[in-house]
Amino acid sequence: MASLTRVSRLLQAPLRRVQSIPVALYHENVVEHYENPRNVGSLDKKDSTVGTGLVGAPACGDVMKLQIKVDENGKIIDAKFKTFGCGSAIASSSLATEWVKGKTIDEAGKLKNTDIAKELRLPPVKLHCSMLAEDAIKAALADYKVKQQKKKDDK
Amino acid sequence: MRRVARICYANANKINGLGYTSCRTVGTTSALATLPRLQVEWEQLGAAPYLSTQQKRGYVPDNMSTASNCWNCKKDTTDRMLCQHCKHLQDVNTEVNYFELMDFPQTFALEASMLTKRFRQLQSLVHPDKFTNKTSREQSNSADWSSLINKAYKTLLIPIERGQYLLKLHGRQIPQDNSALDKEFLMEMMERNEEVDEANTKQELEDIHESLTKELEEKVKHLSKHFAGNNLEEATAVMVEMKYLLSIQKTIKNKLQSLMGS
Repeated sequence: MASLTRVSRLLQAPLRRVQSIPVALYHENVVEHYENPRNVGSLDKKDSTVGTGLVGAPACGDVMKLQIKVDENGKIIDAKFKTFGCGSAIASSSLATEWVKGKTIDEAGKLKNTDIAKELRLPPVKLHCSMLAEDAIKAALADYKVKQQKKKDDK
Repeated sequence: MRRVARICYANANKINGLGYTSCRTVGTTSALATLPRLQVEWEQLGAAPYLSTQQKRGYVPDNMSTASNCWNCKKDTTDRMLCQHCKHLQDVNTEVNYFELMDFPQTFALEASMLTKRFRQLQSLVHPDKFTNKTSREQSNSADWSSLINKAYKTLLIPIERGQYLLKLHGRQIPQDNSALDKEFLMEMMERNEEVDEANTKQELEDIHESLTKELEEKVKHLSKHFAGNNLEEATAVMVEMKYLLSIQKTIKNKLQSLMGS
């Protein structure tokens, strides 16, 4: 009995030590989006109900593509993204696609980079990643509006 | 001696912002230095402290850009690093222009091998290993000089860094935000990133890396031309493109590493 408790106590000690070592400098929210990104992929660019936003960050060479599919009531029913860049950029765009789904185009336009940054606990040096995601959404919405306008003019 | 001193005193009124007198005299500089008015001017123009290192050291570095008083022998020295009289290592001014430091003209075009040669020459003068038996101030200065020269070398050696440094000297920088970029260009960058994403063999990745290197070399040639013609707008645009290409190269390097590791 005593030997059992001694053994279990010996086993517990190294486990506790391992838990106390910090694993990464990214917040767990970012790691989650990086390892299990939602909505990666593409929508049909030529579809008139799809708006495509393509943005880039010159300072670090990140590229981000965000696409939204809008129904006839102006609600975003699907969103996909593809981002090449750092973990924060990927997480920001992943989160952005999650959030705009189910919103109207007006509501989506109100999404601010500060909301994304807060959710992901982005450090100051990575704030531009959330800014990029906000720009991507706005670009996608703008593209959609242009397409809709064209459709109206063609009629 | 007195007559000479008087002539120089008159010229001392024309002291330029750097504290030089423009008189040529047969008398010794120590004679000039004893003239009370000149002494005051020199003191007023001297010692611009930068706080952080000052706090570290407990003394105020003397760093006028051209004429300087050696902290050790107090004599005039034009040599920025080693006093020409007593050979003591001078304090560091980290705001020095890197081109000036490495003794290169302030242009984009420079020869890398010459830069490396110059780098080695400078390091041989100030490397901390050479100051192990010297005063602690010199040892501290030696570490500072060494790291400053390292930083200057790296900045001037790598083309994109050199370009960005030149922009900085002109009071500009690469746009930090997602400013209006050529959609076509971004599309192309997207496709090339996807190409790397889909490539899974070492050979494929190395081929893409190689073609990117060639492309970057071309861009550097364009950059050189733009800087030579002082076309900073075009230079900035080329550097932005280079940034994207370099980012793809970094992705390839990371992927190759993980392929090797697995």
